[in-house]
Amino acid sequence: MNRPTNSSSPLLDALNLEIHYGGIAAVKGVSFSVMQGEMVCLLGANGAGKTSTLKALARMINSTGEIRYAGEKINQLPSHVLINKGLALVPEGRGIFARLTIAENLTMGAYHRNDKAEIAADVERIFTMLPRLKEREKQVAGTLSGGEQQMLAIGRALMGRPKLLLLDEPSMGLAPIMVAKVFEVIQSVAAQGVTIFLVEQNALLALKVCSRGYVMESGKITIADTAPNLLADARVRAAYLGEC
Amino acid sequence: MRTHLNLPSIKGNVLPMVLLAIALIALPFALALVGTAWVRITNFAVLFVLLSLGLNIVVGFAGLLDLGYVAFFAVGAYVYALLASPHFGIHLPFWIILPIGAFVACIAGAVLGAPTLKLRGDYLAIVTLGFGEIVRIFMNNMSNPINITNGPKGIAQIDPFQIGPIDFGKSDLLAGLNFSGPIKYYYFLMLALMLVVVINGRLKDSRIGRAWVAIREDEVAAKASGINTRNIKLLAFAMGASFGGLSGGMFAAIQGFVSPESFVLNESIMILAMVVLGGMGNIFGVIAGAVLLSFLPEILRYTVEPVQMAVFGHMWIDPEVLRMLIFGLALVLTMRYRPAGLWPESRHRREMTVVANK
Repeated sequence: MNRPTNSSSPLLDALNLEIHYGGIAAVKGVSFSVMQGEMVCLLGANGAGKTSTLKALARMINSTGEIRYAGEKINQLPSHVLINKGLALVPEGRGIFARLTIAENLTMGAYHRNDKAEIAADVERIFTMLPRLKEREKQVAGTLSGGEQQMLAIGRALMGRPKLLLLDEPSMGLAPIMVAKVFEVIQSVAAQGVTIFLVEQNALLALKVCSRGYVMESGKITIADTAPNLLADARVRAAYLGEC
Repeated sequence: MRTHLNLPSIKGNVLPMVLLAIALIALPFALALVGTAWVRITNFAVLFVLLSLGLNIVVGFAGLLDLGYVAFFAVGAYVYALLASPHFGIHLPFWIILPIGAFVACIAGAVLGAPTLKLRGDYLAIVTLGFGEIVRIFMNNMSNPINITNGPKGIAQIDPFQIGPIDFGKSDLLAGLNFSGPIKYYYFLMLALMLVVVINGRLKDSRIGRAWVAIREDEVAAKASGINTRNIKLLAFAMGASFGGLSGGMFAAIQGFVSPESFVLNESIMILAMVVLGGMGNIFGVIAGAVLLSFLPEILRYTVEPVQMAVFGHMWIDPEVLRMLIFGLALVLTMRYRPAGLWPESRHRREMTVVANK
């Protein structure tokens, strides 16, 4: 597998990914790819293996098979170097530093960077994008509402200036109005040229913003298609959009 | 590199600092008037302050619960005892042994840290507790077939510090003042304390300090932020341990005798209590906690009996029992009414907002 890196090759390429927890196989050989500038979602019910897949991509857990990012095989790399390469994860359940302030959370996202002036500029840029956070700059992050915490988590990931953003269920546990706002933010991030790979249970919402999608069931990808086709697919409608 | 220290009252508050310095310099002579025992008690209190500051790196900064911290104290003490006593007939000067002890403890810290990297909370506590006991039991049993530690009998006649003509084991008269051994150690301990406080302050302010905070708050998020959590955790264990080793060396010299009995689990718990009660993560809180918990039992020792005699005319409760009772009650009440410790770390850590605003 030695594909050249050019604009037409995928930014992220997973081949036959398998993940085991002890003897239990959570992910049983999945393959997918995300092109540069694309916004792709991975759909599925609870326990389908979506979060495990995402964690494997961010090298938080081990997997077999091959993960290629920007042409480079990253299977064996430690997770902390990925942010340097432009691959950032927004963990499930927001994963913010609850007892630090909003500003501190954002600067922590630039931990691997040394360019102080640029970091400060990026903090301002994110505050412009997320004005609700700017108002609460000095507030402790744990006191924010769920949606604001999710936005902060995305903001923190952006501080690493990612090329590829992995988002793990950004809509989880949020009120519908906040879900809409969070998705607006995600779309504006995508509009800035960041490639996005999104894991979601909220299939309708995810398919409305993404161009393509994969459907995962018990550790396997069962359907892969464009978003409009998936929205029209009877199986998807029945299983994930609540239509019988 | 930032040059400022995150210590309160250094700038603009010179007078209180000068007064504090004068008080600390005069303290041992005042205590010596009451009795040399109090100078010794103070010295042990300062040793516990040093230990608490070391443990604070692991527990307070990095948020890793360590119940076996006394093991590193033991390692430092035994390194000193073995290299400066008739046991092996080696008599190296202290300024060589103290760094060796700190280094050996540092290695021991990394060795303990390595298998615990994936553990957290209660599981980590159990493993570290086991490690502490293993070290003590090793010291207790390494007398056979080759006698290394002299087993439960311990190692005696450990050399005191010696700087040129100044022997820390003897008294010297200088300018009409009697510099007894404990008083000399007091000044040395104070210098060591200043060094450790400065290093702690710098660490807290540094990039490493920020990484520790991140790991303490959320390890997954820390990893996602590009922090090498494995190395940074190992570093916390190793640095905390080296302070423990340094204190251990001084303990061996002051005491002149070490045995495994000094390094029981109770000591680890006591040091942890000092850190938690004082205020995890805050250097001055930890110092306050260590000073308080070191002196409180001693003060109670000297007051419980006379107070009972004065009030009731005879002894109702054995002083030793009452002492621990009051001590325990004080701990419970503090944790009930000040759950974050007496002097908790400010949540708005200045060093980070400063970076954000630059």
